[in-house]
Amino acid sequence: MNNIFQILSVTKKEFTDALRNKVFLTFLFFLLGLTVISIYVGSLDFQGKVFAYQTAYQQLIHQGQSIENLVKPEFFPLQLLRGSIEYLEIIGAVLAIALGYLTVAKEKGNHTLQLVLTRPIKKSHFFLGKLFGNALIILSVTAAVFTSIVIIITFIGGVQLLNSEIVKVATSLIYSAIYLYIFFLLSTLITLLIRSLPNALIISFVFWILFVLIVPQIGDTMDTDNQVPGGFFNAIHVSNTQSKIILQQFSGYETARNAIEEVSITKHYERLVFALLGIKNSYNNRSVSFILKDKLIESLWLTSSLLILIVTTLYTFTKKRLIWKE
Amino acid sequence: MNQIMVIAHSEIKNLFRERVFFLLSTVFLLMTIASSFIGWTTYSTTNAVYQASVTYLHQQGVFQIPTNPVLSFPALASFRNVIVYIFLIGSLMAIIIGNRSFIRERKSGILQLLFTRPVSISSIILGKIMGISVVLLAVISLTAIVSIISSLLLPLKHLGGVDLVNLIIFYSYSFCYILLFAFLGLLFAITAKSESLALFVPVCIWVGVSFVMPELVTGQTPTALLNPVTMDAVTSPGNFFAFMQSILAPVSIGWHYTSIGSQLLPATIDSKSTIDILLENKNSLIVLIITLVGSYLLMLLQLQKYDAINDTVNE
Repeated sequence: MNNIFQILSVTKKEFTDALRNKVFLTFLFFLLGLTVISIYVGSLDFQGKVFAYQTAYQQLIHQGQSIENLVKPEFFPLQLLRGSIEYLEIIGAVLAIALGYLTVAKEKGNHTLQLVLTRPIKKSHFFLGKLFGNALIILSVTAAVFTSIVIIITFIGGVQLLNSEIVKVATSLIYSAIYLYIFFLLSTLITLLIRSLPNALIISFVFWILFVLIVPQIGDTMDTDNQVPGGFFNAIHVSNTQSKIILQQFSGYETARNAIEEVSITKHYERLVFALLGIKNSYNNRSVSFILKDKLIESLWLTSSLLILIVTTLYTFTKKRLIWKE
Repeated sequence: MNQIMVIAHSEIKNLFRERVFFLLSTVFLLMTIASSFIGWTTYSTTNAVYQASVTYLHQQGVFQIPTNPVLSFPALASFRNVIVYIFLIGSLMAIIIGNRSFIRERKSGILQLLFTRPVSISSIILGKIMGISVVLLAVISLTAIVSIISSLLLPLKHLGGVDLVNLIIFYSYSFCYILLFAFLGLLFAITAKSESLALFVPVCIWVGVSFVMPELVTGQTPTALLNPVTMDAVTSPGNFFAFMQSILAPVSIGWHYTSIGSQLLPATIDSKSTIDILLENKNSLIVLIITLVGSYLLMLLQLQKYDAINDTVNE
């Protein structure tokens, strides 16, 4: 009972510390602001497409031409979340890095750790409290982001989300929290292992830029269909089915390209959440269970990375004793 | 002048002692080499895919096939990934270099010591800027040399005289662009109370400049600018984007960078001449210079307010 009380006390302290921290609050409001902006921009972009469609439709009718080839823009409210998800990938990861860095840096900088450990508390309990506290913060951040999204879509956009769509949003929320927590753990681990605090922060940023921005970009750049605006296969009049048959001859290249993308945890998160929210068109109108089954690999990547990092960070903190040498 | 040179010299020496600087420069150089290799692999695979498509379509009885669109790519198209790497890694590296430059001296007390000497504030800042500029110029020049050599070694289309001029202009512009982020790092390293805040705030601004402003101006998703093919995509239609473009476009430095970069390193053969590109984008270049001068003046102002006696830097 006493152990649980100790862990919960540290959890509570982590939570209140974060709410008092300027860096955390700056990033939180920045992220929430960007969520609102990206949904607004997404809806305006869609409105623009509808207007362009209507104009083209009127022109073709007026000229007496066929409207057969005119593609009608379809509205899927969850597709408006694309920008917000991309911001969670980028800014959310920075926020998680900030939390991971601060959770260790405040103890190292203020030399409070030595003081805490003069009390009858186990190192593992102290650190578990920190992990729980930050898990709660990250869950609150993602909940705040997704709640604002639902509020904007429902009350400002006037779109009533279906129950199945709310379940998809809730599932995306959980995976988003897992994704952010991975970056939190990575940053915590780096800050624990590296003696110099500023260097630890810089190295965390290097990891962030490589895995969040560079590696997924390399995978996209290597996609043969991405070489020409509008699509390479489209430019040479090859259909989607035909392109799949042709690309079978280049399985080695495609495997290498896929392997590069697999390195990035961001890509796994993106594939899973884009499928859940129907941002990837082929998953629109599919059930959550179907999507989760189809994207099981992405889900396993995320959860296994999370577990490995939890164990490694806990081991580093309790056994390696690096932090005590500061 | 001598004082500025001494500070610049000390800055260069200190930067070359920093392991983090070497880490970032190495990542930057490796990515430049990788970008040439990626460009070559993708180019040759896409050509092979085209040949396989032609064979397949012939088997299907289709004989009217458009020409290979990739063959018309100019030599500079294979350099387009560099725009993304300078936009991302170059800017982050510059922020960190600028940040380390002042934070290091504030923490060690060297800055306080400098204030006891008859050195003017402008000399301190100019010395630091000169030192940082030399280092950034060296890194950018090295990446330019590496890119050109790797393009010569790989069986890609070879660069002509005009291509080389475009490349030199592109790398010079890139140098000015990342210098701006070094200034940002310097500015917050002077003003911030804590080391982490001095790094987080410029990173936040960098994210705003690189992802938020372009999204508001073009309506494209935040990562659309990171794809060398879609980076010069058209702006979304509608009054909102037209309005945002009129307000934000002049100051959207990140968007200007990818836009000018993609014009200087074009993906299509029917591109504009170098003079036309520069004339068309003269306002963007003027904005960049004004921002650089403005940041310098802000640094002067902040350093004048600097309290050398009570200065403490928290973690």
